[in-house]
Amino acid sequence: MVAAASATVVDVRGLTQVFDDPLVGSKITALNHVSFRVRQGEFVSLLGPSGCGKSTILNLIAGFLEPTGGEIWVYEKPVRGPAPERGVCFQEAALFPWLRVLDNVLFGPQAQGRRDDITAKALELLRRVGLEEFKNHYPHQLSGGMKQRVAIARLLMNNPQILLMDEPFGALDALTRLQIQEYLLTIHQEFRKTVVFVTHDIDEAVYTSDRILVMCARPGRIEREITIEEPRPRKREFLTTPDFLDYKRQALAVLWGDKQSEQAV
Amino acid sequence: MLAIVLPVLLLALWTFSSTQHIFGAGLLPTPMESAETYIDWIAGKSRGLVDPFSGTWARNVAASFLRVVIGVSFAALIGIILGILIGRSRAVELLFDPTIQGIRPVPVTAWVPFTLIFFGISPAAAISLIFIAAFFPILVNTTAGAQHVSVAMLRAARMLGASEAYLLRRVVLPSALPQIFTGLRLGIGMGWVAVIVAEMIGVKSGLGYILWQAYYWNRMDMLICTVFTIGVLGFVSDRIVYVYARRKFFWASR
Repeated sequence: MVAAASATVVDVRGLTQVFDDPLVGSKITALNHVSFRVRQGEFVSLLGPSGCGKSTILNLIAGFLEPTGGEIWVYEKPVRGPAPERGVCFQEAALFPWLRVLDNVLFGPQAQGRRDDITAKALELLRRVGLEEFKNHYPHQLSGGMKQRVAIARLLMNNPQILLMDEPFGALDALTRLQIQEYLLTIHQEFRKTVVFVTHDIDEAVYTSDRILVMCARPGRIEREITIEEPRPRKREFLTTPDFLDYKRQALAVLWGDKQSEQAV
Repeated sequence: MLAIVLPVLLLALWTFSSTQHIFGAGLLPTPMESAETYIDWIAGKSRGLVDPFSGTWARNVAASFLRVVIGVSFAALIGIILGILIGRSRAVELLFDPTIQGIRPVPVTAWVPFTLIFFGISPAAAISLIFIAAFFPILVNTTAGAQHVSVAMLRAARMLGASEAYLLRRVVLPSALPQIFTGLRLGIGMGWVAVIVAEMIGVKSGLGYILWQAYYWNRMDMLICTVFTIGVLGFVSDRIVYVYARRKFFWASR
Protein backbone atom coordinates (compact mmCIF):
# COMPACT_ATOMS: atom_id res chain seq x y z
CA MET A 1 0.00 0.00 0.00
CA VAL A 2 1.01 3.59 -0.61
CA ALA A 3 0.42 4.55 3.01
CA ALA A 4 3.00 2.03 4.22
CA ALA A 5 5.78 3.81 2.40
CA SER A 6 4.75 7.29 3.57
CA ALA A 7 6.47 9.41 6.16
CA THR A 8 5.39 9.63 9.78
CA VAL A 9 3.23 12.69 10.36
CA VAL A 10 2.09 12.25 13.96
CA ASP A 11 4.52 10.71 16.41
CA VAL A 12 3.18 10.06 19.90
CA ARG A 13 5.96 9.02 22.28
CA GLY A 14 5.35 7.62 25.75
CA LEU A 15 2.34 9.81 26.42
CA THR A 16 1.27 9.82 30.06
CA GLN A 17 -1.52 12.03 31.30
CA VAL A 18 -2.31 12.41 34.97
CA PHE A 19 -5.30 14.47 36.13
CA ASP A 20 -6.06 15.71 39.62
CA ASP A 21 -9.31 14.35 40.95
CA PRO A 22 -10.80 17.28 42.87
CA LEU A 23 -13.40 15.07 44.59
CA VAL A 24 -11.09 12.47 46.07
CA GLY A 25 -8.02 14.68 46.13
CA SER A 26 -5.99 11.97 44.46
CA LYS A 27 -4.58 11.64 40.96
CA ILE A 28 -6.05 9.75 38.02
CA THR A 29 -3.83 8.27 35.34
CA ALA A 30 -5.83 8.84 32.16
CA LEU A 31 -3.09 7.64 29.84
CA ASN A 32 -0.18 5.36 30.63
CA HIS A 33 2.81 5.37 28.25
CA VAL A 34 0.88 5.52 25.01
CA SER A 35 2.98 5.46 21.83
CA PHE A 36 1.94 5.26 18.20
CA ARG A 37 2.64 6.78 14.82
CA VAL A 38 0.39 7.95 12.05
CA ARG A 39 1.68 8.12 8.51
CA GLN A 40 0.96 10.66 5.79
CA GLY A 41 -2.55 10.16 4.38
CA GLU A 42 -3.41 7.42 6.83
CA PHE A 43 -6.83 7.07 8.48
CA VAL A 44 -6.31 5.85 12.04
CA SER A 45 -9.08 5.27 14.58
CA LEU A 46 -8.76 5.27 18.34
CA LEU A 47 -11.47 2.84 19.45
CA GLY A 48 -12.39 2.20 23.04
CA PRO A 49 -14.95 2.50 25.84
CA SER A 50 -15.65 5.84 27.48
CA GLY A 51 -13.00 6.76 29.98
CA CYS A 52 -10.17 5.03 28.11
CA GLY A 53 -8.52 8.36 27.33
CA LYS A 54 -9.06 8.38 23.56
CA SER A 55 -10.43 11.93 23.55
CA THR A 56 -7.59 13.00 25.82
CA ILE A 57 -5.10 11.78 23.20
CA LEU A 58 -6.89 13.82 20.56
CA ASN A 59 -6.93 16.95 22.74
CA LEU A 60 -3.22 16.50 23.36
CA ILE A 61 -2.44 16.18 19.64
CA ALA A 62 -4.65 19.22 19.00
CA GLY A 63 -2.65 21.16 21.57
CA PHE A 64 -5.62 21.91 23.84
CA LEU A 65 -3.90 20.14 26.74
CA GLU A 66 -0.26 19.85 27.73
CA PRO A 67 1.02 16.33 28.35
CA THR A 68 2.16 15.58 31.90
CA GLY A 69 4.57 13.05 30.46
CA GLY A 70 5.87 12.07 27.03
CA GLU A 71 5.92 14.02 23.79
CA ILE A 72 3.90 14.56 20.65
CA TRP A 73 5.66 15.44 17.43
CA VAL A 74 3.78 16.57 14.35
CA TYR A 75 5.76 17.05 11.15
CA GLU A 76 8.94 16.67 13.19
CA LYS A 77 8.05 19.54 15.51
CA PRO A 78 6.82 19.22 19.08
CA VAL A 79 3.21 20.32 19.56
CA ARG A 80 2.90 23.71 21.28
CA GLY A 81 -0.75 24.66 21.40
CA PRO A 82 -3.45 24.55 18.71
CA ALA A 83 -2.66 25.44 15.09
CA PRO A 84 -4.62 25.50 11.82
CA GLU A 85 -2.47 22.65 10.37
CA ARG A 86 -4.29 20.37 12.86
CA GLY A 87 -8.02 20.81 12.24
CA VAL A 88 -10.34 19.48 14.92
CA CYS A 89 -13.89 18.22 14.49
CA PHE A 90 -15.75 18.14 17.81
CA GLN A 91 -18.49 15.93 19.24
CA GLU A 92 -20.92 18.80 18.94
CA ALA A 93 -20.27 20.82 15.79
CA ALA A 94 -19.14 23.86 17.88
CA LEU A 95 -20.29 26.29 15.22
CA PHE A 96 -20.60 29.95 16.22
CA PRO A 97 -24.38 30.34 16.66
CA TRP A 98 -24.34 34.12 16.00
CA LEU A 99 -22.73 33.69 12.57
CA ARG A 100 -24.43 32.58 9.39
CA VAL A 101 -23.23 29.33 7.81
CA LEU A 102 -21.03 31.15 5.29
CA ASP A 103 -19.46 33.35 8.00
CA ASN A 104 -18.75 30.25 10.09
CA VAL A 105 -16.86 28.76 7.15
CA LEU A 106 -14.99 32.05 6.64
CA PHE A 107 -13.94 32.30 10.31
CA GLY A 108 -10.59 30.50 9.89
CA PRO A 109 -9.12 32.54 7.03
CA GLN A 110 -10.51 35.75 8.53
CA ALA A 111 -8.87 34.96 11.87
CA GLN A 112 -5.60 34.57 10.03
CA GLY A 113 -6.10 37.88 8.26
CA ARG A 114 -6.44 36.47 4.77
CA ARG A 115 -8.09 38.80 2.28
CA ASP A 116 -7.90 36.81 -0.97
CA ASP A 117 -10.79 35.06 -2.73
CA ILE A 118 -11.92 33.25 0.40
CA THR A 119 -15.65 33.65 -0.26
CA ALA A 120 -15.47 31.77 -3.56
CA LYS A 121 -13.57 28.95 -1.89
CA ALA A 122 -16.03 28.85 1.02
CA LEU A 123 -18.98 28.60 -1.35
CA GLU A 124 -17.21 25.84 -3.26
CA LEU A 125 -16.67 23.87 -0.05
CA LEU A 126 -20.29 24.39 1.01
CA ARG A 127 -21.35 23.08 -2.38
CA ARG A 128 -19.13 20.05 -1.83
CA VAL A 129 -20.89 19.20 1.45
CA GLY A 130 -24.24 19.91 -0.21
CA LEU A 131 -25.12 23.02 1.78
CA GLU A 132 -24.54 25.92 -0.62
CA GLU A 133 -28.19 26.96 -0.50
CA PHE A 134 -28.00 27.14 3.31
CA LYS A 135 -25.20 29.68 3.31
CA ASN A 136 -27.36 32.41 4.85
CA HIS A 137 -28.94 30.16 7.49
CA TYR A 138 -27.97 30.24 11.12
CA PRO A 139 -26.67 27.06 12.82
CA HIS A 140 -29.80 26.59 14.95
CA GLN A 141 -31.82 26.27 11.73
CA LEU A 142 -29.82 23.20 10.66
CA SER A 143 -30.08 19.52 11.63
CA GLY A 144 -27.28 17.78 13.50
CA GLY A 145 -25.85 16.19 10.35
CA MET A 146 -25.92 19.49 8.46
CA LYS A 147 -24.11 21.22 11.32
CA GLN A 148 -21.32 18.65 11.22
CA ARG A 149 -21.03 19.12 7.45
CA VAL A 150 -20.67 22.88 7.98
CA ALA A 151 -18.04 22.14 10.65
CA ILE A 152 -16.16 19.98 8.14
CA ALA A 153 -16.36 22.70 5.48
CA ARG A 154 -15.10 25.23 8.06
CA LEU A 155 -12.18 22.90 8.78
CA LEU A 156 -11.27 22.27 5.15
CA MET A 157 -11.29 26.03 4.53
CA ASN A 158 -8.03 26.19 6.49
CA ASN A 159 -6.58 23.37 4.42
CA PRO A 160 -5.29 21.47 7.46
CA GLN A 161 -2.82 18.64 6.84
CA ILE A 162 -4.28 16.60 9.69
CA LEU A 163 -7.91 16.09 10.69
CA LEU A 164 -8.51 15.25 14.33
CA MET A 165 -12.04 14.01 14.84
CA ASP A 166 -13.52 13.48 18.28
CA GLU A 167 -16.61 11.25 17.96
CA PRO A 168 -17.98 13.78 15.47
CA PHE A 169 -20.94 11.66 14.41
CA GLY A 170 -21.87 10.21 17.80
CA ALA A 171 -25.04 12.27 18.14
CA LEU A 172 -26.41 11.49 14.66
CA ASP A 173 -28.98 8.88 13.70
CA ALA A 174 -27.72 5.73 11.94
CA LEU A 175 -28.59 6.75 8.38
CA THR A 176 -27.28 10.31 8.61
CA ARG A 177 -24.19 8.90 10.21
CA LEU A 178 -23.57 6.54 7.30
CA GLN A 179 -24.00 9.37 4.80
CA ILE A 180 -21.60 11.65 6.59
CA GLN A 181 -19.06 8.83 6.99
CA GLU A 182 -19.14 8.51 3.21
CA TYR A 183 -18.59 12.26 2.92
CA LEU A 184 -15.60 11.95 5.18
CA LEU A 185 -14.15 9.04 3.21
CA THR A 186 -14.54 11.00 -0.03
CA ILE A 187 -12.79 13.97 1.52
CA HIS A 188 -10.02 11.79 2.91
CA GLN A 189 -9.53 10.18 -0.48
CA GLU A 190 -9.66 13.35 -2.50
CA PHE A 191 -7.75 15.82 -0.31
CA ARG A 192 -5.22 13.21 0.88
CA LYS A 193 -5.63 14.18 4.51
CA THR A 194 -4.19 12.36 7.46
CA VAL A 195 -7.04 11.51 9.85
CA VAL A 196 -7.02 10.59 13.52
CA PHE A 197 -10.55 9.53 14.39
CA VAL A 198 -11.87 8.90 17.89
CA THR A 199 -14.92 6.68 18.23
CA HIS A 200 -16.60 4.08 20.42
CA ASP A 201 -18.51 2.71 17.43
CA ILE A 202 -16.80 -0.46 16.14
CA ASP A 203 -18.62 -0.44 12.77
CA GLU A 204 -17.59 3.13 12.17
CA ALA A 205 -13.96 2.36 12.96
CA VAL A 206 -13.81 -0.73 10.72
CA TYR A 207 -15.63 0.96 7.85
CA THR A 208 -13.48 4.09 7.74
CA SER A 209 -10.00 3.20 8.98
CA ASP A 210 -6.70 1.93 7.63
CA ARG A 211 -5.71 1.04 11.12
CA ILE A 212 -7.61 0.76 14.43
CA LEU A 213 -5.89 1.25 17.76
CA VAL A 214 -8.09 -0.53 20.30
CA MET A 215 -7.83 1.08 23.71
CA CYS A 216 -8.62 -0.10 27.23
CA ALA A 217 -9.33 1.92 30.35
CA ARG A 218 -7.82 2.25 33.85
CA PRO A 219 -5.21 3.21 32.94
CA GLY A 220 -5.83 4.26 29.33
CA ARG A 221 -3.56 2.32 27.00
CA ILE A 222 -3.45 0.88 23.49
CA GLU A 223 -4.24 -2.81 23.80
CA ARG A 224 -4.14 -3.89 20.22
CA GLU A 225 -3.66 -2.68 16.66
CA ILE A 226 -5.89 -3.94 13.85
CA THR A 227 -5.02 -3.21 10.23
CA ILE A 228 -7.99 -3.07 7.84
CA GLU A 229 -6.81 -4.36 4.47
CA GLU A 230 -10.00 -3.48 2.58
CA PRO A 231 -9.04 -1.37 -0.46
CA ARG A 232 -10.27 2.19 -1.02
CA PRO A 233 -12.59 3.68 -2.01
CA ARG A 234 -14.67 1.72 0.47
CA LYS A 235 -18.07 0.58 -0.70
CA ARG A 236 -21.23 0.21 1.35
CA GLU A 237 -21.19 -3.50 0.56
CA PHE A 238 -18.10 -3.83 2.76
CA LEU A 239 -20.39 -3.31 5.77
CA THR A 240 -22.01 -6.73 5.27
CA THR A 241 -19.04 -8.87 4.16
CA PRO A 242 -17.51 -11.71 6.23
CA ASP A 243 -14.25 -9.71 6.31
CA PHE A 244 -16.07 -6.83 8.00
CA LEU A 245 -17.51 -9.17 10.63
CA ASP A 246 -14.12 -10.71 11.20
CA TYR A 247 -12.52 -7.30 11.87
CA LYS A 248 -15.42 -6.49 14.15
CA ARG A 249 -14.94 -9.75 16.04
CA GLN A 250 -11.24 -8.99 16.58
CA ALA A 251 -12.06 -5.57 18.00
CA LEU A 252 -14.84 -6.93 20.20
CA ALA A 253 -12.57 -9.61 21.61
CA VAL A 254 -10.22 -6.92 22.89
CA LEU A 255 -13.02 -4.74 24.24
CA TRP A 256 -14.81 -7.65 25.95
CA GLY A 257 -11.56 -8.85 27.41
CA ASP A 258 -11.27 -5.46 28.99
CA LYS A 259 -14.76 -5.71 30.48
CA GLN A 260 -14.02 -9.15 31.99
CA SER A 261 -10.76 -8.08 33.56
CA GLU A 262 -12.61 -5.08 34.94
CA GLN A 263 -15.19 -7.32 36.61
CA ALA A 264 -12.39 -9.46 38.04
CA VAL A 265 -11.06 -6.35 39.77
CA MET B 1 -57.02 41.48 28.36
CA LEU B 2 -56.07 40.34 31.87
CA ALA B 3 -53.29 42.87 31.89
CA ILE B 4 -55.68 45.86 31.94
CA VAL B 5 -57.88 44.59 34.80
CA LEU B 6 -55.60 45.90 37.53
CA PRO B 7 -54.96 49.35 35.97
CA VAL B 8 -58.72 49.86 35.50
CA LEU B 9 -59.37 48.86 39.11
CA LEU B 10 -56.66 51.22 40.38
CA LEU B 11 -58.08 54.06 38.28
CA ALA B 12 -61.55 53.37 39.70
CA LEU B 13 -60.17 53.35 43.24
CA TRP B 14 -58.32 56.60 42.57
CA THR B 15 -61.44 58.23 41.12
CA PHE B 16 -63.54 57.09 44.08
CA SER B 17 -61.12 58.17 46.80
CA SER B 18 -60.42 61.55 45.21
CA THR B 19 -64.05 62.49 44.51
CA GLN B 20 -65.18 61.27 47.95
CA HIS B 21 -62.28 63.11 49.67
CA ILE B 22 -61.17 59.98 51.54
CA PHE B 23 -57.80 61.59 52.32
CA GLY B 24 -59.29 65.00 53.21
CA ALA B 25 -60.52 67.71 50.88
CA GLY B 26 -58.15 68.87 48.15
CA LEU B 27 -55.28 66.53 49.01
CA LEU B 28 -55.67 63.98 46.23
CA PRO B 29 -56.56 65.41 42.80
CA THR B 30 -58.96 63.48 40.59
CA PRO B 31 -57.70 61.61 37.51
CA MET B 32 -59.29 64.31 35.33
CA GLU B 33 -57.55 67.14 37.17
CA SER B 34 -54.25 65.30 36.92
CA ALA B 35 -54.76 64.74 33.20
CA GLU B 36 -55.38 68.46 32.72
CA THR B 37 -52.22 69.26 34.63
CA TYR B 38 -50.34 66.78 32.45
CA ILE B 39 -51.59 68.36 29.22
CA ASP B 40 -50.64 71.78 30.54
CA TRP B 41 -47.24 70.47 31.57
CA ILE B 42 -46.63 69.25 28.03
CA ALA B 43 -48.40 71.86 25.91
CA GLY B 44 -48.12 74.91 28.19
CA LYS B 45 -51.62 76.31 27.74
CA SER B 46 -52.03 77.62 31.27
CA ARG B 47 -55.48 77.47 32.81
CA GLY B 48 -55.66 81.14 33.64
CA LEU B 49 -53.10 80.91 36.45
CA VAL B 50 -49.35 81.36 36.14
CA ASP B 51 -48.10 77.81 36.55
CA PRO B 52 -44.29 77.48 36.85
CA PHE B 53 -44.46 73.90 35.49
CA SER B 54 -46.44 74.86 32.41
CA GLY B 55 -44.81 73.73 29.17
CA THR B 56 -41.65 72.39 30.83
CA TRP B 57 -42.27 68.69 30.12
CA ALA B 58 -40.12 68.20 27.01
CA ARG B 59 -37.16 70.11 28.42
CA ASN B 60 -37.06 68.12 31.66
CA VAL B 61 -37.76 64.73 30.12
CA ALA B 62 -34.96 65.35 27.63
CA ALA B 63 -32.59 66.42 30.41
CA SER B 64 -33.17 63.29 32.51
CA PHE B 65 -33.21 60.96 29.53
CA LEU B 66 -29.96 62.36 28.14
CA ARG B 67 -28.25 62.01 31.53
CA VAL B 68 -29.29 58.36 31.78
CA VAL B 69 -28.08 57.70 28.23
CA ILE B 70 -24.70 59.36 28.84
CA GLY B 71 -24.16 57.78 32.26
CA VAL B 72 -25.17 54.28 31.18
CA SER B 73 -23.09 54.58 27.98
CA PHE B 74 -19.93 55.35 29.94
CA ALA B 75 -20.75 52.54 32.36
CA ALA B 76 -21.30 50.15 29.44
CA LEU B 77 -18.09 51.15 27.68
CA ILE B 78 -15.89 50.57 30.73
CA GLY B 79 -17.99 47.78 32.27
CA ILE B 80 -18.01 45.64 29.11
CA ILE B 81 -14.29 45.99 28.37
CA LEU B 82 -13.27 45.39 31.98
CA GLY B 83 -15.82 42.58 32.42
CA ILE B 84 -14.50 40.69 29.38
CA LEU B 85 -10.92 41.00 30.61
CA ILE B 86 -11.82 39.95 34.17
CA GLY B 87 -13.81 37.02 32.80
CA ARG B 88 -10.97 35.75 30.62
CA SER B 89 -7.80 36.61 32.54
CA ARG B 90 -6.95 35.31 35.99
CA ALA B 91 -4.42 38.12 36.48
CA VAL B 92 -6.92 40.88 35.64
CA GLU B 93 -9.47 39.19 37.87
CA LEU B 94 -7.09 39.12 40.83
CA LEU B 95 -6.14 42.73 40.19
CA PHE B 96 -9.67 44.17 39.99
CA ASP B 97 -12.25 41.79 41.37
CA PRO B 98 -11.61 42.04 45.15
CA THR B 99 -11.72 45.84 45.05
CA ILE B 100 -14.82 45.89 42.86
CA GLN B 101 -16.63 43.39 45.08
CA GLY B 102 -15.70 45.55 48.06
CA ILE B 103 -17.15 48.73 46.57
CA ARG B 104 -20.20 47.14 44.96
CA PRO B 105 -22.35 46.69 48.12
CA VAL B 106 -22.31 50.45 48.83
CA PRO B 107 -25.83 51.70 47.94
CA VAL B 108 -25.79 54.21 45.10
CA THR B 109 -27.49 56.82 47.32
CA ALA B 110 -24.44 56.81 49.61
CA TRP B 111 -22.40 58.29 46.77
CA VAL B 112 -24.63 61.37 46.45
CA PRO B 113 -22.62 63.58 48.87
CA PHE B 114 -19.39 62.62 47.09
CA THR B 115 -20.71 63.49 43.64
CA LEU B 116 -21.97 66.84 44.99
CA ILE B 117 -18.59 67.64 46.53
CA PHE B 118 -16.72 66.69 43.36
CA PHE B 119 -19.09 68.14 40.75
CA GLY B 120 -21.22 70.68 42.65
CA ILE B 121 -24.81 71.44 41.69
CA SER B 122 -24.46 70.37 38.05
CA PRO B 123 -25.51 67.73 35.52
CA ALA B 124 -22.09 66.10 35.97
CA ALA B 125 -23.14 65.14 39.51
CA ALA B 126 -26.13 63.25 38.12
CA ILE B 127 -24.18 61.62 35.31
CA SER B 128 -21.42 60.40 37.62
CA LEU B 129 -24.02 58.93 40.00
CA ILE B 130 -25.76 57.15 37.09
CA PHE B 131 -22.38 55.83 36.01
CA ILE B 132 -21.73 54.34 39.45
CA ALA B 133 -25.23 52.85 39.60
CA ALA B 134 -25.16 51.27 36.13
CA PHE B 135 -21.52 50.16 36.15
CA PHE B 136 -21.75 47.26 38.60
CA PRO B 137 -24.65 45.28 37.09
CA ILE B 138 -23.11 45.67 33.62
CA LEU B 139 -19.68 44.61 34.83
CA VAL B 140 -20.88 41.62 36.85
CA ASN B 141 -23.05 40.29 34.02
CA THR B 142 -20.36 40.79 31.40
CA THR B 143 -17.85 38.95 33.57
CA ALA B 144 -20.25 36.04 34.05
CA GLY B 145 -21.00 35.97 30.32
CA ALA B 146 -17.30 35.95 29.43
CA GLN B 147 -16.58 33.18 31.93
CA HIS B 148 -19.25 30.90 30.51
CA VAL B 149 -18.20 30.80 26.87
CA SER B 150 -18.29 27.14 25.83
CA VAL B 151 -14.91 25.41 25.91
CA ALA B 152 -15.63 23.73 22.56
CA MET B 153 -16.20 27.10 20.91
CA LEU B 154 -12.96 28.54 22.32
CA ARG B 155 -11.06 25.48 21.16
CA ALA B 156 -12.69 25.65 17.74
CA ALA B 157 -11.62 29.28 17.35
CA ARG B 158 -8.06 28.55 18.50
CA MET B 159 -7.55 25.62 16.15
CA LEU B 160 -8.96 27.72 13.31
CA GLY B 161 -6.06 30.11 13.91
CA ALA B 162 -7.56 32.86 16.10
CA SER B 163 -5.16 34.91 18.22
CA GLU B 164 -6.16 35.72 21.81
CA ALA B 165 -7.20 39.28 20.88
CA TYR B 166 -9.25 38.00 17.94
CA LEU B 167 -10.81 35.41 20.22
CA LEU B 168 -11.98 38.10 22.67
CA ARG B 169 -13.45 40.24 19.94
CA ARG B 170 -15.08 37.63 17.74
CA VAL B 171 -15.94 34.78 20.09
CA VAL B 172 -16.01 35.88 23.74
CA LEU B 173 -17.77 39.22 23.14
CA PRO B 174 -20.57 37.92 20.87
CA SER B 175 -21.01 34.85 23.03
CA ALA B 176 -21.39 37.02 26.15
CA LEU B 177 -23.63 39.64 24.49
CA PRO B 178 -26.97 38.18 25.62
CA GLN B 179 -25.82 38.35 29.21
CA ILE B 180 -24.23 41.76 28.66
CA PHE B 181 -27.66 42.99 27.57
CA THR B 182 -29.19 41.57 30.76
CA GLY B 183 -26.63 43.67 32.64
CA LEU B 184 -27.48 46.65 30.46
CA ARG B 185 -31.17 46.37 31.33
CA LEU B 186 -30.39 46.19 35.04
CA GLY B 187 -27.97 49.09 34.60
CA ILE B 188 -30.60 51.24 32.90
CA GLY B 189 -33.03 50.50 35.74
CA MET B 190 -30.40 51.54 38.29
CA GLY B 191 -29.61 54.57 36.13
CA TRP B 192 -33.20 55.83 36.48
CA VAL B 193 -33.01 55.43 40.24
CA ALA B 194 -29.77 57.41 40.29
CA VAL B 195 -30.93 60.21 37.99
CA ILE B 196 -34.03 60.95 40.12
CA VAL B 197 -32.05 60.95 43.37
CA ALA B 198 -29.33 63.15 41.88
CA GLU B 199 -31.76 65.64 40.35
CA MET B 200 -33.78 65.94 43.55
CA ILE B 201 -30.69 67.07 45.41
CA GLY B 202 -27.95 68.21 43.08
CA VAL B 203 -29.31 69.44 39.74
CA LYS B 204 -31.70 72.24 38.80
CA SER B 205 -33.44 70.48 35.92
CA GLY B 206 -34.86 67.09 35.03
CA LEU B 207 -37.71 64.99 36.39
CA GLY B 208 -36.13 64.54 39.82
CA TYR B 209 -35.92 68.32 40.18
CA ILE B 210 -39.57 68.70 39.08
CA LEU B 211 -40.58 66.01 41.57
CA TRP B 212 -38.89 67.88 44.40
CA GLN B 213 -40.35 71.23 43.31
CA ALA B 214 -43.83 69.68 43.15
CA TYR B 215 -43.40 68.41 46.68
CA TYR B 216 -42.02 71.79 47.82
CA TRP B 217 -44.96 73.70 46.34
CA ASN B 218 -47.41 71.06 47.57
CA ARG B 219 -48.54 70.21 44.04
CA MET B 220 -49.93 66.71 44.40
CA ASP B 221 -51.17 66.79 40.78
CA MET B 222 -47.65 67.47 39.53
CA LEU B 223 -46.24 64.75 41.80
CA ILE B 224 -48.59 62.24 40.24
CA CYS B 225 -47.74 63.42 36.71
CA THR B 226 -44.00 63.23 37.36
CA VAL B 227 -44.05 59.79 38.98
CA PHE B 228 -46.17 58.54 36.08
CA THR B 229 -43.68 59.97 33.58
CA ILE B 230 -40.68 58.41 35.34
CA GLY B 231 -42.42 55.05 35.33
CA VAL B 232 -43.26 55.25 31.64
CA LEU B 233 -39.73 56.35 30.69
CA GLY B 234 -38.15 53.56 32.72
CA PHE B 235 -40.48 51.04 31.14
CA VAL B 236 -39.93 52.31 27.60
CA SER B 237 -36.13 52.42 27.85
CA ASP B 238 -36.10 48.88 29.22
CA ARG B 239 -38.44 47.65 26.46
CA ILE B 240 -36.31 49.20 23.72
CA VAL B 241 -33.25 47.29 24.93
CA TYR B 242 -35.24 44.12 25.59
CA VAL B 243 -36.89 44.01 22.17
CA TYR B 244 -33.59 44.82 20.45
CA ALA B 245 -31.84 42.01 22.37
CA ARG B 246 -34.63 39.52 21.61
CA ARG B 247 -34.31 40.20 17.90
CA LYS B 248 -30.53 40.21 17.84
CA PHE B 249 -29.92 37.20 20.07
CA PHE B 250 -32.51 34.82 18.65
CA TRP B 251 -29.74 32.23 18.53
CA ALA B 252 -29.22 32.30 22.30
CA SER B 253 -32.65 30.90 23.20
CA ARG B 254 -31.97 27.75 21.13
